Amino acid sequence: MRSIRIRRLRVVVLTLALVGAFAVANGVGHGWGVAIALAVFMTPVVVVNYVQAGRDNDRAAMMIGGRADERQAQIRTRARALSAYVMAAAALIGSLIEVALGHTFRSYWPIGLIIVAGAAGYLAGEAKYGAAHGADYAPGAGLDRANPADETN
Amino acid sequence: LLDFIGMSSYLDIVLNGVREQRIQRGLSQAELARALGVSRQTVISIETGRYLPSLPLAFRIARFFDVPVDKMFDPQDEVRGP
Repeated sequence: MRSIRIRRLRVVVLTLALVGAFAVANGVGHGWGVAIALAVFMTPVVVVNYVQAGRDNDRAAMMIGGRADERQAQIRTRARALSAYVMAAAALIGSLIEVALGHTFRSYWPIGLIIVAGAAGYLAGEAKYGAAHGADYAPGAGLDRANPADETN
Repeated sequence: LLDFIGMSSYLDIVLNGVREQRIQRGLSQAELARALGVSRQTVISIETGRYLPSLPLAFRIARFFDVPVDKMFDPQDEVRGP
């Protein structure tokens, strides 16, 4: 379990280091400023992440994906779904505000991209998890139409 | 909001005999969790009726206690959560 925690921690630190290096290399947000701010704000996040992941509770199991049982996996799925709803709603409100303020699409296209990506993700999820093969294809479906007597039950 | 996004079923509470059976056999929640391959928190949630287990897990629980699954999870005991 400890190795999983450390592996996870390594991924987080590596990702942050890459973002910081990118900022420095491109001079984004005054170069080192962004990298230092990232380090200052993210260090506690990384430490809390590591400590939490070692505890015997639902959050720890969900953070370390492989340890989650069916209930914890369900909680994680629902939490992700809820966060996606909130993100989509925020993106929609943001784009409406941009339109109301008379800004051009050039200024708010990233918000539009989030909405389009969310919609595409939803449709991809439907296709992947079988919504395209609806109840009409299930064995026995439509039996009531073929034989109205079945409807008495 | 939960109704709108289809998550209200999570608030349904289904009563069952898991706690009773576990105590009868002198098992702790952690021991039962280990035997079933789930977390202790999940055993607690099932016992308090806050979580309705999947069919495979329900059968696993019933087999573990050697009780028919419909006796362990009686749908007539279903009540609506707050």
